[in-house]
Amino acid sequence: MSIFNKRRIFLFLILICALAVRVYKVGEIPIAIYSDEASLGYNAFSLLHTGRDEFGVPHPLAFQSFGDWKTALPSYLAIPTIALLGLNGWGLRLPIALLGSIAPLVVYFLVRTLFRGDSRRIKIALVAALLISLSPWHILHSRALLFESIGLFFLLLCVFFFYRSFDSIKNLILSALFFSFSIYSYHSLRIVTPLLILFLFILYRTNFRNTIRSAVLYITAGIIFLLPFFVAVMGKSDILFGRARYISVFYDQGVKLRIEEYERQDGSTQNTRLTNLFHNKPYSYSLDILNRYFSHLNGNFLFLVGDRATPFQISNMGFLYFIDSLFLLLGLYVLARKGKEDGELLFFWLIVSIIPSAFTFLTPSSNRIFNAVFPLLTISAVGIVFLAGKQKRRLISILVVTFGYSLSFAFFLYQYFLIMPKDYASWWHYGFKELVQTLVNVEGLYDRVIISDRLGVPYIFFLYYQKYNPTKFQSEGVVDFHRDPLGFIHVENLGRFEFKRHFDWKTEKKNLWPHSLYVVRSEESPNDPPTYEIKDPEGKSIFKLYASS
Amino acid sequence: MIPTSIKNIGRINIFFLVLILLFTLLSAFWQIGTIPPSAVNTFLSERIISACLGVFLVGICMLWVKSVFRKTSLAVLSGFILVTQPWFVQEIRIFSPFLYASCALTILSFSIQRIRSSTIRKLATFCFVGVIAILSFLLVPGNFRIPISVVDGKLLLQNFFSLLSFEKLFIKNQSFWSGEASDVGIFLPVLFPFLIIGILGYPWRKGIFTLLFCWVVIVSLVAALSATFPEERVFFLALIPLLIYAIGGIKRAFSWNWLPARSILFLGFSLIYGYSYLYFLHLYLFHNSLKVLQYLEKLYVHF
Repeated sequence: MSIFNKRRIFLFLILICALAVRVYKVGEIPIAIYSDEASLGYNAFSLLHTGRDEFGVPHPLAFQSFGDWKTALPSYLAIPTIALLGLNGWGLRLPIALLGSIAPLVVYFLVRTLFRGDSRRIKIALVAALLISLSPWHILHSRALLFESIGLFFLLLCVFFFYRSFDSIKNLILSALFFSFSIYSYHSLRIVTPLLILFLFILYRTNFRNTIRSAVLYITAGIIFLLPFFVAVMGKSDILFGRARYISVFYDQGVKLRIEEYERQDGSTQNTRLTNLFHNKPYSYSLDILNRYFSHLNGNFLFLVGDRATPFQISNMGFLYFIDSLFLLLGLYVLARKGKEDGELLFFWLIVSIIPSAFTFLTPSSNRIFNAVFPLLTISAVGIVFLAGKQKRRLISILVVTFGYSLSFAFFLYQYFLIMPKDYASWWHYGFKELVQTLVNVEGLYDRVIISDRLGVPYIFFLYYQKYNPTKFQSEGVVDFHRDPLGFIHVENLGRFEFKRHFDWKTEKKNLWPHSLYVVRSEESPNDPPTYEIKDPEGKSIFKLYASS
Repeated sequence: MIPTSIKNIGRINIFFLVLILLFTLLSAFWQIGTIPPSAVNTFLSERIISACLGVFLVGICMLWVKSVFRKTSLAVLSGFILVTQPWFVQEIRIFSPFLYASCALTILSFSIQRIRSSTIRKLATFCFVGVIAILSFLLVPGNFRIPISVVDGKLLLQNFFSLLSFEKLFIKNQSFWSGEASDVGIFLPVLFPFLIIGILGYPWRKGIFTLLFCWVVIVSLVAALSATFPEERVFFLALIPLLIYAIGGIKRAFSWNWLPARSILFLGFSLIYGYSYLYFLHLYLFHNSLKVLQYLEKLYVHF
C-alpha cells in the first residue's frame, strides 16, 4: 500500500496544522508567564541545577509550590528544553506544545480502534483528530506549561494500549505504564483514570482470554509503576489531599451558611426534628454537587462564555465552537440509537470526567474537566460523519460543515492571537516581567522594597524572571509554611524584596518606612501619583510604585 | 348506569383519581389568601381563578397523557406529578396570566391531537406553533418595544441556555422573586433522569412530540428575550410539554422486565420524591412566606 494514500495525506495535514497552531509564537503568546507556569518552570530550573525543588526537596513527585502541591511531571518534561533554550517562554512551553501536536495522532488511532466494528471508523477517526487539532480548548491548554493536556495525552495512550491488549497482552503493561503517568501528571485524573480503566475491564471482560488474570497483571504493573507515588503519599499525605482539602465543596462555607440561615429562620416556631429533617447537610450537599456537576454541561459554559477563572479563558467564546453544539447533539442522538460499546465508553468517559470538578467549589471549571474534550469532540465527529454520510445533499452538508468550522477557527485565531494579548493581558499575569526588570534596576536606590501580597504570589516571578540561583533561594529564602485560609503558604523575603502579608496601602501610606519602595496594585491606589508605573499593552495601569523619602 | 369510559378506567385508578383531585384542591385552595402573603394589590378573587384553572389544568393534562401514551395509570400518575411540581403549585396560588395562557395552549394542543385527518392535524399544528409564539410574546412585558436590530444574539442564546439549564429546571428558579420560593427549581430534582430519558426516548420528529419540541423551543426563545431576565415567567408555558417528556421517561424507565430492579427503582424514586416534595413544601409554606412578609411593604408587583 502506498504511503501517499488520501487518508495518510489528510492525517499528515492535520498534524501539520496542529503543530503550526500550537508552536507558532508559543514563547510569546500567551503574552506573559502565568504564576503556575513560572512555578513549574522555576522548579524545573531548580531540578536541573540542583536536583532539588525550590524548597530543597530532592527529586520530588509533587512540589509544595504555593501550598497547592503541584504534580511534578510537567517540570520534569520541561527540563530538557529549559536546558537547551533557557528559562523562558519557549523553554517552558515547547514540550507541552509538542505533546499537544501529537495528541490528534493518538486520537486518530484510538478512535479508529474504538469504532472498529463501524465501516466509517476511518472517517470518524480523521474528523475527531481534526476537531482536536482545531479545538480552542485543546490549543489553549497546549500552549502553556500546565498539567491538563499532559494528563490527557497519557490518558489517551493508556486507553489506546488497553484496546491493543486484546491482540497482545504485553500492551496491557504499556497501558498500565501510561495509567501511572496520567496519575503522576494531574490531580483530577487520580479519580478519572482508575474509574475509566475499571469500566473498560467490565465492558470488555469477554475480550480477554482470562479476564481475572489480565486484571491482576494490570493492577500489579500499575502498583509497581505507582510505587514511588504511594511511598511519597505515605510520607506526606498532602501530596494527595493537600490541594483537594482547600478546594472541596465541603471546605466552602456557602452550603453551611445557607443551612444555618434556614435553621435560624425556623427558630422557635418549628420543631427541632423537623428543622433537622429538612435542613441537613446530606441533602443540601447532594443538590449542590449535582448542580455543580451539571453546570459543566451548560451550553453557556461549553459554547458561549467558557470558564470564568483565569487563565483558562478565551475572550468572547466558549471552549467548544458554537457549531460543535449542533454536531454534539446529532452525535449523541446517533450513538444513543446505536447503543454499542464504543458509544458507551464515550458516554462513561464524559460522565466520569466531570466528577472530580463537581466536588470542588470553583465551578464550572474547564481545566478540571479538560479530559472531557476527547469524548465531546469524538461525539461531534460522529455527528459530522453521520450528516456527511447522507447521500441526499451530501456535498452541501460537507460545504456547510467546512465553512462553519473555518469561520469558527478563524474567529478563534483572531481572538487568541490578536485580541487576548492586547485586551486581556492581565489574565496571564502580564506586568510582572516589567515589574521585576524595573525593580532590579532601581533596588539599589532603596533600603527595602515592599511588595503587596494582593499581587497574588509575586515571589515566584522574582525567582523566575531573575533566574534566581536555586541554591541561594533554598538556603536564604524566608518561607512561612503556615497555610492561609485558602491553603497557600507564604514567602516572606527574597534578598531586599519583602512580600508583605495583609498589606493595606491606605493604612501603610500613613506610616512609611524611610528610603523604601512600595509596590501596590493600581486598583488599591487609584488617586496617588506614583514614582514608577507598570502598564499593560493597552496603556492601563497595573502596578504603581511609591518611593518614600 | 356507569358510562363505559369510566368503567374502563378501573377501580384502583378511580380511587387514585379521587385522591389526586382532593390533593389538587388542597394544594390549590388551602390558605390561598395568606400563602403567599397578600400584598396591597392582591385580590383573593384572582387567586381563586388561578386555583380553579390549576385544578382544571391537572384534569386536561391527565386526559392528554392518556391519549398520548394510551395508559390510564400513567395519566393518573401525571396528574399527581403535575400537582406536586414546585412551580405549578406556586403559580396556581397567585394571580398568573401565564397559567391562563398555559391552560389555553394545553386545551388547544389536546384538541389538535384528537383531529383524525392527518392533513388538517398538520395544518392545525402549524397554526398552533404560531399561536404559542404570539401568545408568549404578548405575555412578556415590553417585548414589542424591542427593535429586532438591537437583539443581541449571544445574549439571547445565553438566556436560552440558562432557561434550559439543570440549575433553573431543578435547583433554583428565579422567575418571580415576589411570589415564589427561590431555593427550588421548576421541577423536583428527582424528575431529572426521567426528563432526559423522555427527551432521548421520544424523537422530536414523531407525532405529538414535534409539537411539544417546537412548543418548548419557541417559549424558551421568547422568554430569553425578556428584558427583565432572569425574572421572567413566560417560561411557565413550557412546563406542560416538559412534563409530558418526563412522563414519557417514567414510562420507559419503569418498563424493565426485571421485576426486582423495577421495584427497587420504584421504591427509591418514591422515597426521594416524597422527601423532595416535603422539602419544597417546607420552603414554600414557611421560609418563602417569611421572605415575602419581610419585604411586603416594598412589593408592588401584582400577585
